[in-house]
Amino acid sequence: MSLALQFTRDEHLTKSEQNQVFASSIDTSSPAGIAWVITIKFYAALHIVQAYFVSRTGKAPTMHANRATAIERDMSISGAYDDYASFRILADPRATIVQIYS
Amino acid sequence: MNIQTYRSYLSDNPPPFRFTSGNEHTLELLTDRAPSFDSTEAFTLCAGIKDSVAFEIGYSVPEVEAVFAKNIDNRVMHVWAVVPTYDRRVYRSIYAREKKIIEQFGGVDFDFNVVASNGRQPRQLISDPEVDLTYLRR
Repeated sequence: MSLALQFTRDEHLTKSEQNQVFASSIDTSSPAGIAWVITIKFYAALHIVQAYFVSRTGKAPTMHANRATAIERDMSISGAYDDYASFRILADPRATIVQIYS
Repeated sequence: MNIQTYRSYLSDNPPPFRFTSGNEHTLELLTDRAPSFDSTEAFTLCAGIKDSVAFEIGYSVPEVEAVFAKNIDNRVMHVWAVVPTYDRRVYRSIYAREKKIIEQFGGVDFDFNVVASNGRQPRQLISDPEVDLTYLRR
């Protein structure tokens, strides 16, 4: 049995802030460093989205699939669907820095 | 471009399923694999969604080479669109179609993925036997 951990709204926001602080500490002089900063900032943004869902519905989607669908179906944030879909490829280990910037 | 045009296309490029007579939302698989559904209703729904995905993403976006889909599992249908290479404009076109499908089928969540084939055959990219090829551009 799998159990998905649910953070509170404030915990998600705290995680987001921590991720952003960590991202700012990474050396971006190499492509690998840039890729990591993008990845961490993506997850920082993700925590803000999760905080939004928790505040609206009491719980947040736990998988990318459910989250993408939930974003599209929420009129307040559906405009973020394309950006979420684009940056979701960061979660795919086959994604490359060229794909992100092109 | 409409569903009639797509039907005409299907007659020339038959997929591994066919519409049963009298019900355009019911499909009969032309493969040996038995569908993994508990009910005819669920199977019909799943086939209808796959049909829509094939049309909306596969047929309607010219750059898409193939579309794969995995049957609904835990309320989620997984979909892979194969394109030749990364192209932001094409990806945005596919996202627009994804959003249309999400709005069309309210009871299902979708895991949409776009994969760049980079010269490989689409069938080489997806090896999971539970994933069906729902559209292949010829």
